[in-house]
Amino acid sequence: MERKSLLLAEDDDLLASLLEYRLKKGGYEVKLCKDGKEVKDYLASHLPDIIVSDIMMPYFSGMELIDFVRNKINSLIPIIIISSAGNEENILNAFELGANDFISKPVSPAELLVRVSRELNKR
Amino acid sequence: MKKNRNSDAMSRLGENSTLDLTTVLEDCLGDLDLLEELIRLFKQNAVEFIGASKLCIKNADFMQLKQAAHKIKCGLGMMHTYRLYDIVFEIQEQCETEQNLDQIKYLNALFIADYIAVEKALDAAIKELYNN
Repeated sequence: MERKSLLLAEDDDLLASLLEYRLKKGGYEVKLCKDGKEVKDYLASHLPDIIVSDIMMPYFSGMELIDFVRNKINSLIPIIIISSAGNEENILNAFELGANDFISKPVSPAELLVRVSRELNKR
Repeated sequence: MKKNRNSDAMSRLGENSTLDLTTVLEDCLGDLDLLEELIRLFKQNAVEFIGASKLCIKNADFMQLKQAAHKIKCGLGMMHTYRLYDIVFEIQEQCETEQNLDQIKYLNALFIADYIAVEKALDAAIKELYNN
């Protein structure tokens, strides 16, 4: 079976390393981008099956990423946002912009895998 | 120097500096090499934060310090170093609200003192995991 491709946009090295490892072990083909510039460059030539993105990133925030995907690329691929706990306003804004789901930090890799799988199964 | 005696950071200072890496190792699916890499990154981030905070305090740059505090919080939570997390949380709050430089200096000194203990505890915990 073909592996689903996943774009992981996360600038925190520690969290990115753990999530990349677990997502790969979970059977996903993972592209890790550590800032918004990398994300935009990647999306210019690739469209992953799903995106997992932190809200706060250098150069290009998670909000801008959602807007870019929904309004510039015109894609409905699932987007899961990673947010700091207690950041309800950002989470609501992310949903309004078109995010499909969110997960709070500290992120449980097992929970993220379930959420990713659930979003992909909806399609 | 003013000390916030009601703070979580203060109230938890008397605790022993031992760390249980079991949960983090479970997140790593038992891969000790990955855990070691995460610890290496954790230490690197902590040292970067200490350097950045020193400079921010010197320049009274609350915005940069707030960002540095926000950046390191995720890793502190991930590694279950909750005292350090509480201290950094208070530094971030100080930067957003009172901007009391004396209090921030005090919290920063707490962070450094506690980090030294945490670093030793991390080394001991990973050694124990390898021995088991």
